[in-house]
Order: sequence, then structure tokens, then C-alpha cells
Amino acid sequence: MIFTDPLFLFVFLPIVLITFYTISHFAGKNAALIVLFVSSIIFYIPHSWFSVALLIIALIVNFVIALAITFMDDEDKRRKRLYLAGQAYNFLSLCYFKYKIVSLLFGPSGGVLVDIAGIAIPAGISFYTFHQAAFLADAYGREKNVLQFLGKLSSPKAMVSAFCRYGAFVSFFPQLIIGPITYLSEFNPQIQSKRFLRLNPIDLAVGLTFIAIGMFKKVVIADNLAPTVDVVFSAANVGAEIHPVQAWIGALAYMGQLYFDFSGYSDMALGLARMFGLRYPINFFSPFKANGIIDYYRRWHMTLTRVIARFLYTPLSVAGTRYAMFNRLAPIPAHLLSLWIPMLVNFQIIGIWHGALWTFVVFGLMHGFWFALETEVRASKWYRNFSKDKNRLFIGFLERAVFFLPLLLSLAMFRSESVAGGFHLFSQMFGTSFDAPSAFNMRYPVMMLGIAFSIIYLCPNSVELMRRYRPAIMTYDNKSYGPAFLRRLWRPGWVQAAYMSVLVLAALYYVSRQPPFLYQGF
Amino acid sequence: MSDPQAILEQVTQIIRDLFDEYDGPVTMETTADDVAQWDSLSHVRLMVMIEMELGVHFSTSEMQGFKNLGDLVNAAAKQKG
Amino acid sequence: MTKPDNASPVAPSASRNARRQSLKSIRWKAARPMLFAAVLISVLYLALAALVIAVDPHNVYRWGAEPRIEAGDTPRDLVIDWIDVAAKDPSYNTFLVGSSITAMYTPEYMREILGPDTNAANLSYGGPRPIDRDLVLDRLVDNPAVKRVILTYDWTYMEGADVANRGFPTFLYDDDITNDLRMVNPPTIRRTFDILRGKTTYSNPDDAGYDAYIENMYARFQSPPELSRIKRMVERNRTGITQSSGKTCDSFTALNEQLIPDLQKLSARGAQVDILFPIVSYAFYYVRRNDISPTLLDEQMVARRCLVNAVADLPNVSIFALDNDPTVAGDLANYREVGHIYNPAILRRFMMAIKNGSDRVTRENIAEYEEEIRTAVKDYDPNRDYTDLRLVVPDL
Repeated sequence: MIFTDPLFLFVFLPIVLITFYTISHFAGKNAALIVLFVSSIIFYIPHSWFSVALLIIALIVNFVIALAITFMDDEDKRRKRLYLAGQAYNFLSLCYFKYKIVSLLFGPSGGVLVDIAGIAIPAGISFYTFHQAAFLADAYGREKNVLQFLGKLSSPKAMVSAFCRYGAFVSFFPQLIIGPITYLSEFNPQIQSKRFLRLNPIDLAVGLTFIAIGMFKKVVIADNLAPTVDVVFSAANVGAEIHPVQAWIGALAYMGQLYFDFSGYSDMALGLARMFGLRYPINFFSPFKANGIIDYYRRWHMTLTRVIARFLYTPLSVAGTRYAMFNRLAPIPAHLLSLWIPMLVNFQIIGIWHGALWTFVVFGLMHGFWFALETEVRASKWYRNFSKDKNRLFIGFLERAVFFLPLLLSLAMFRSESVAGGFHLFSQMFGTSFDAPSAFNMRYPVMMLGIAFSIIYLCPNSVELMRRYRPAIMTYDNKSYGPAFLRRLWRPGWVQAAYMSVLVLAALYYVSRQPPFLYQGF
Repeated sequence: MSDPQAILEQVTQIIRDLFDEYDGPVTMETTADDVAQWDSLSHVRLMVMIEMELGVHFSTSEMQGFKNLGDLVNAAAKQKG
Repeated sequence: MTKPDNASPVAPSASRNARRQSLKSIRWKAARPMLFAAVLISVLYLALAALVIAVDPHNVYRWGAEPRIEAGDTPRDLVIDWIDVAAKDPSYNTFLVGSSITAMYTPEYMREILGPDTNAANLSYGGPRPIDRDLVLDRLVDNPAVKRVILTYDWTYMEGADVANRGFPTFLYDDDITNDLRMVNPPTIRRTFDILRGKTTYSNPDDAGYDAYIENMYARFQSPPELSRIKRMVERNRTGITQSSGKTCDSFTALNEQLIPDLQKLSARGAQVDILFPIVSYAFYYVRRNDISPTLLDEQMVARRCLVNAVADLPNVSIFALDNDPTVAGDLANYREVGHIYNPAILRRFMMAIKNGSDRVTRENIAEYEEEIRTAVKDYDPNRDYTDLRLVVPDL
């Protein structure tokens, strides 16, 4: 099911909510978590039975290994081996089912997925695999929540209920298909809390508000930008002449579409979980208001950034730094080892994580180089001297002016159907095909872009709006940018309820035409 | 357990060398946010410098987990025993 | 801190309970507007959905109303919701399944040419894609009243079998009733209430608007700056116009997996199928090369040849083409857009061809036809006068 489907919103969700709070009232926490687990599986069934089977197998494998390594001694050599076997399972199943074997990337078709496994990519596999890999690492590192979460396992019944708790943690439907990728240290304290299971009407009100905002972002804004994006990018892919203005509109529209689609989804995920009294980490905090690529990655798909930084960038960078310092390397090779190489690898993985396509490889390279470059510039004496005595406002505008174009171009590459198509679009944006035929009627897309970018730059984000109610776990601490006088506080009053109703009705108006969330493809 | 205060002094020296533009106080409560030059890259460098200077070893998850200098100093003190 | 004992009458516990109670009621009160709005919207939506599904204004179910399209009406782009309204209406025996290039044919027009027994519905809508086209044809295959299907073989058949028109409500025409909740949108609700009020015939409100739109489009296309822009486009795209695409019949999944099986079923049932190769201009292959595919001409030729050969042995299936006549496809004055014919005489000529069985493309003459088009496109000169060229092409 997808969140914007009326069947989900008006049938599935109310039934699960009522069941959850009724069962938790009469039968307690374990039963309530079983409700979450079972309903999440039901939620997942429409994606295909095969995907369900694969998910359950992955749950069992990770759960059993986590149990085993939790109760083994540190000295036991098998502990590490078992852990690595578990991570190998996660990694290989991801490679097999998502990439249909990475070698296809280098195959003759240039990245078009040939269906070796004979099935479509199981929905959410990249998200729940990362989710479980992080859990397994926590278990291996003896993170203190793991033991408490597993609880006493004295009887088979206790084992089953521990498994269902784990199932609920990994597959809880608001975050199963597109994240956020959550750590146990964020989930476990909440279900251990006395407040969990207690029906708090404020949770419902906050949750509903997030759902309304998210749905509006996705269905009204992102989906209305989508047709323009499709036209421009498919024309670019066949090497069409595109009027520069239309090429720009296409690239900008994709920027808006991607953000509103994915952040709309993330808002809905936060809201849905909140209705069950659970808070999740945020994925987005006004990323396009960022002052550079470093700031951007603290605000864009934050839970992916942090999980990849944790498992990939930091270990690589630490190893590189250690090597460089112990061997007293010269500054340039030292920087290569401690920054550039880890950064490029990091972004390459982020790119490829989205799929086995050359466009993602190029996107990863662009962002890797850019991120490392910005790190160097910001650390340089020259930049610090330059920015020290300048007006903050001036620096803010300058940084954003420098930030915007590379971001626009790299996201356009991300969307392109081929690398050549991406570069062709760039050539058209900066080209002179003023004679090209009009690919679409511009009035409506330009209006939508106006709305989208006004929201992006002027409005507070949903977490800022709801900040009175601790709407989410802050993945990173971020500054609020943008006009402060517009950063209103939300309260669950009649006026706000009316606003939210308008957002939902606007979304329902468009709901009969319903493309899936973009990130479902990843 | 060796004296955390002595370790803090050693760490303070490293911080003064590495973050040459910072002249504020260095205490157990100091965090990366207090020091402009202290970004994620120099964080790793700082950790490795401290490892070398004190002869300790931090795991990457420890490095990411320190909330302030106090956490770091205490972890080092514990290792030195 | 010790756990407060609820049973004990000690003061602090009682006051804590009281505080909790009052907080609880404050919270409920605070959340009331949002909860009220949510419940209201949910209940309204579900009630409307139940009503719409029960009334069935699109005639997709076995129950409910059986609305009809008003006699002589051509629903055009509204038709995507009305496929079943037309396809399940036993009084129709002829269906035109086309795209924007055939949207102008009215039922009367078709009856006038094809004969008084013809009761036609025009199911043409803009920008059909393989998936939705297949859904429409499947409905006609299931309808035993169908005597004749007229179909355009648009370039969109070159796309993969999994491509759908974004605006087409595929959820209405699948077997899954649960996703039909999505049909609750303002036009559907309006139509449901119309039916409840006793109005069970549908009509297209904007026939006049459509005519104006066509006239406008023609005037704009025929303006000198636009024509000279087209000419410049043709010259810019000349290099490589004859390039081979390397495609074979296996490349066209929509043709092999969707269209041909449907044609076989219709043919086996004795229904007449008339397929039209769109009467696009020669300039089309130059201009749309730009955004469809650099090897558009070759792909179109291969796709057409594949279709002709695939249906050659099927009884009752005929294929028609007029674009091998340079006075038609060479002269931009006939067009309102490089791929859309405007000239009423040519539109009429197409219907006449169906009636008389002229201008057919068959296995025997496909090679010749292909050669004519390829040569005409290659040699196309937008500045040449094609009007008095009555070239080869005797009626085939």
C-alpha cells in the first residue's frame, strides 16, 4: 500500500489504530507490538508475496544472529564470524535482489537492469536492509538497548514475543518502504517508556497534521511538477533540442519534485508513527536552504547520511588518518587518505545505493568531489579570513548562490535517464536552442514552480512548525534558516484544523491520479 | 585509573596546537560546537593525535559517541587504568 | 521515588490522579478540532466512496446504473473514464480506438460514410500509451456486440509494454476493487449525483471548445513564422534521418504482447478490424526525431512492417495508409501540427478508404510502401510545392 492511497488512509489506518489502542489497553505492550508487526506485514502484502517472504527471512536471519552474538562471550572467536556472516547475508541479498548482480552495471546494456532474478526489486529492501545492518552492528557492539529490547528469553513464548518486537521495530509500516532508517537506541527507549500505549490525543493531532502536510507536498506539489519533468528529461535523453528556458524549468521542476515527494513521504511517516505514540528521526530539515553541500547533507535524507557515515566514511577516514599520521605523510597524500578517498567512496556508495545506473555513479562523483572541496575551502585560512569581517547576510547569500547551481545540475544528473542525457540537458540549459519547438505549455509548470520554491525558501519546515510538540528525533542539530517572522508555531486549534483540511482536500482532489513515491524505486 | 585532570591537560595542549585560532577555555564540558575549526575532518585528526600522544585506542563508534571532552578524557583514563 | 499506590487514600496520589485527569481532558479538548476534521473528512470520503461504487457512474461493475453516452456525442478526453460506459453499451457495434489524430470523428460522420448500420463510439483520447490502449482493447474483445474496431497505430506503440498514460485511470479497469476508492473525485461525484437525479446520459460539454481549439491550432501552425521554424528544424535534423535503429520485431513488446493477441481474438470472433497508419507529415519524422528517438523513421518503418506481417494471415484485419501520397504528407498546409492532419477532405478520404477497402497496405506491398515513405522522407524538401504532385501511387 502507499500512504496517499485512500484505502490506506481511510480504511487501513483507522482499523489498525483502533486495534492497536484496544489491544494495548486490554493485553499490554507485547500484544500491541504484535499488532504493529502483523499490520505492517498486511500493509506490505500488496507489494508481492515474494517480497513478504524475503522480508520475513531477513528478519529471522538478523534476529537469530543478533540473539546469538548478544549471548556469546567476547572471547568467543565465533562471535565475530557470526556477525560478519549476518552482515554478509544483508549485503549479498541487497546486491542480488536490488542490483540483480552489480556486474550488470558494466554489462552491454549500460545499466538497464536485466531481470536475472526474474522478479521486480522488492519494495523497501534497501531501507530495511540498512535498518537491520545497523541493528546487528549495535548488537555486536553491545549497545545497551539491545539487551533490554530482547528482554528475558526464558521460554519459547518469550522468544516469539521478542521476535515480534523485533519485527515491529524493523517493519513498522510508516518506515518500512522508504525509511527513515532508525536505530534501536531511538526506538527502544520509547517502547520501554510508561507513556507508550497511553492514548494521547495530542499525538493524534500532531500526527494528523504531519499527514496533511506530507500528503499535500506529495500529491499536490510533487505530482503536479512530475509531468513537466518527464517531458523534459525524456526529451533530453534522446538528445532533443530544448529551449533553454524549458530546460531550466525541467531541471528546477525535478529539484522541486524530488524534495516534495520524498519529504512529503517522510512527513507522512513521522505523522503515522506519531499516531501510535512513536517518534522517528527526521530525514529532512529544509535542505534547499542549506549554505553548502556539507550543510545540505545534514538536512537531506539525514538517516541515510548518518548510517553511511557511521559504517563507511568514519571508519575509512579514521583508518586513513591513522595511517597518514603514523607514517608522517606529507599534507597532500595525508589529505587524500583522510578526506578525499573516504569521501569519494562514501558518495559513490550513496549514489549506487539508489540503483545500478551510471547516472548515479556520476552523481556520486559530483557530490563526493564537491563535498571534499567544500571541506577544504571552509577549513582554509583564506576562507576564514575572507568570511571573518564580512556581513553575515552577505556571506549567507554568497554561499547559497555558489551552492545552488551545482546542486541543480547534480540532481538533474540523478534524474537523467542516461549520463549522455544528463549532459545533453546541461548543454541545452546553457545552449542557444531558442528555435526549438515548445515541449510543453509553460504557464502551469511555472506557476507550480513559483509555489514550490516559495514554500522551499519562505516557509518553515514541518518540524519547525510543530516544534512545540517534539515532533521528531533530531538526527542532526540544524539551524533554522529563512524569515523568522513566518516561522509560526502550530497549535491544534480550529483555524489550524481548517488549514489542514484544505491541504487534505486539495490532495484528495488529485488523488485519483496517483503515481507512487519516487523513493519507492530505490 | 589515571588522573583525568592530567589527561585533560595533555589533551588541552593538542587542542591548542590543532585549533590554533581558538583561544577560549578548554574544559571537560568543551564540545566541537565551541570551536569553529573543529569539524568532522579535524575531529578524526584530533582523535588520532590523542591516540598517538596517550597511547590509547578508540573504536570508531567511541569516537562518534563522545558528547564532550569529558567523555573522551574519561574513556582514555579508563584505558590507561 | 516509590510507586504511588492508587488504592491508598493518601492525599498526594489522589491529587496526582486528579491532575492527570484534568490534563487528559485538557488534551482531548485541545486536540478536538484536528480530530473532528479528520473524522469528518474520513467519514465523508468513505460515504461518498460507498455511494459512488454503489451507483457506478463509470459502469465498471456488474451492479449500479447503466449510463449511456448521448447519441452523437464524442466524449474525447473525458472518454478515459467512460470506456466501459461505451464498451458495455450493446447498441454500439463500431468503435474507433484512436488518439488525438482521430478525436474529431463524430458518430454521425462515421455512420454517414460507413453506412446506416454503423452505430459508432469514438474512444479516442490524447496520448494513448501501451498499457491503457491494451485495457481499452481488452474491453472491446470482451464485448460480443462489437462488429468493427477502427484503430490507429500510433508511434506510442514503439514504447515498452509497461508504459502507461499518466492521466489514464488504470485503477478503474483492473480487477482490484480496493483501489477504486481513488475514483472519488469531483467529476465522478457530480456524475453520481446526476444519475441519482435521473440523468443517465452523458454528454461532452465542450464540443464548441474543441472546434475552436482545432481552428486555433491550425491558424497558429500555418503562420509564416511557425512554418519557417519548422523548416529550420527539418534542416537541422537532416543529418542521419535515414539512420538504422537496429530494431527488429522482437523490440516492440507492446505490439507483440498486447496488440497482436487482441487482434487475433477480435479476428477469430469475426469482428472487422481496420488499422490506420497515422497520416503524419514527412516533416514529422524530422521534427519529432528530436524528442521521440533519433532513429524515429527507421523504427516506425520497422514497427509498421512487423504489424503488417503479423496480421497478414488474420481474416478481417486490414491496414490502411494515406501517407505514401506526397500531396497528403508532403504538404504542410494539410496539417495543424506535423503529426496531426487537419484537411477535412483527407480525413474523409481515410473513412472512405475503410469503407471501400482502398489504400490498403498488405504483405505484398509493404516493401514498396516502406520504400516510398523512406524515400519521400529522405528527399523531403519543405520548400518544395507538393500540391500538384500526383506521383505514382495508383490506388493499391
